[in-house]
Amino acid sequence: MIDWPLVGARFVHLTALMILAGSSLFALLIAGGVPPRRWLIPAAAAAALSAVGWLFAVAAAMSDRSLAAVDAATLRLVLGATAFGHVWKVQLALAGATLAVAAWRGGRGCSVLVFALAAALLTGVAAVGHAGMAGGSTGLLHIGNDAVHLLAAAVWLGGLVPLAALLYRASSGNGSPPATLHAIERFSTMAIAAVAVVLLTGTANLQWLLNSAAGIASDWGRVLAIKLGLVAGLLVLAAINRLILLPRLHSAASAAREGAAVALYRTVLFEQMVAVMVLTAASLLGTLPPPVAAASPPRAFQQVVGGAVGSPQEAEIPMPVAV
Amino acid sequence: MRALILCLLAGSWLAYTSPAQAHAFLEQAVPKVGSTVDSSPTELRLRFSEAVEPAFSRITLAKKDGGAIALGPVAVDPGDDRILVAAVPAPLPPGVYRVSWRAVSRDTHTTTGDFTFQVGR
Ligand code: HEM
Repeated sequence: MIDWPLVGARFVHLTALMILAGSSLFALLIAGGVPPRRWLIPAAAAAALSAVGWLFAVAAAMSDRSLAAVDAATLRLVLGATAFGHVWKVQLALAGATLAVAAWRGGRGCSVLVFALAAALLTGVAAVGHAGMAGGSTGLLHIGNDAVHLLAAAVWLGGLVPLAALLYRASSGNGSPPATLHAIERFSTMAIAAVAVVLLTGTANLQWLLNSAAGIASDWGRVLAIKLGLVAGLLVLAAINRLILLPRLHSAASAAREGAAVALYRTVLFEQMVAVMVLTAASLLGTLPPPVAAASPPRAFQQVVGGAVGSPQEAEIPMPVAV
Repeated sequence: MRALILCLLAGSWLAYTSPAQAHAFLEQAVPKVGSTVDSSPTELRLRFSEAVEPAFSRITLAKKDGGAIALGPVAVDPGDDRILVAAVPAPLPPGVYRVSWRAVSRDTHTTTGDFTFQVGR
């Protein structure tokens, strides 16, 4: 069984945070600092709402009730007495602050603040995910690794939103060609660095959660394989952009430049679609039991609620572990 | 040179990482799963593969073919947050007992399971 409300809340939250972090950094490093308020406000609102939704989904799962049956007492218990709750109190406050900052008509400072807040919120997501389970200093290390994974993915995928807007202007003949070209080249370089970090931190994550090749044959492993396939697709699209379409923007003929901008715009939109699929897979991944869990022996008499390890058989199986 | 340093840094980061645990699965229990003990236990101790949330975790005890037996409140062992403890307030008469548990792990996932043990021969 899959906990769809939780997957949905994770998806909306992650996507909104990626857009917040990626487009504010894009504004700062590439587009002169002005925050893209058009996306920031809806994205910040979605991040705040989905943070509340995430809390309800966790409260329902922890208390074994339906979403509608979650009451104030359960929410208080989750927020006050669980590790998730300690992180999530901060998450809710930061999400509210992000909405306020996004609505503020500031300039560069607004972009800086939104980026910092979105990075902190992504760290919160990492802290309540599988990375947080180790506890202690190893746990902090996993959380740090995961936070960097998410932030690097945000720099890349979130940046595709303002990039598409820039290309749209360029393909309709607006905007100054040299400035546009410069911006696209800078983003391309930044994205390559981000991809390298995503691959490195993703591989580190894999080593933590997958301790045997057999682990691939789990639901978690299959969803991860789908995610990696989609990431490979993204890399192909990015390579087409970088190696084939980008050089054509240097063309002397303005018609050829605009044609290349149109083609780039289309592949970037396509990249965005694949990115949404990657985020869907990643949202699901975080709710499934990773195979390290399935690796220790006496599993026949236990059941993952909302997951799929083992079956709830009659419990006469002796434990091989000595006490 | 810069590329080489970056590769070395990346390599050592990956070498440093090693597998961790995940959902809370039962690893050990006192009394042991399926065991026979001479006299009634004074508490039930269940050790899981990762830290658990006492606020939402449950242990229930029932006579194999009978009604539920009241236990003390579920708490985590102060020395190890992977261990759930519940006191057995009144001595259990000889017989077979079923322990059912529902563990909510720190990364918010839930596992359930049960096992039996026997008191007396
Ligand atoms: C565009 C590329 C990618 C995006 C957007 C992405 C996104 C994510 C997200 C959102 C999570 C969930 C983190 C959490 O909930 O704590 C995650 C976890 C993870 N990622 Fe990625 N990722 C990408 C690429 C990769 C790559 C290339 C690898 C492998 C080399 C990888 C391996 C992992 C692993 C193993 C996890 C842990 C899953 C879990 O918590 O169960 N990712 N990623």
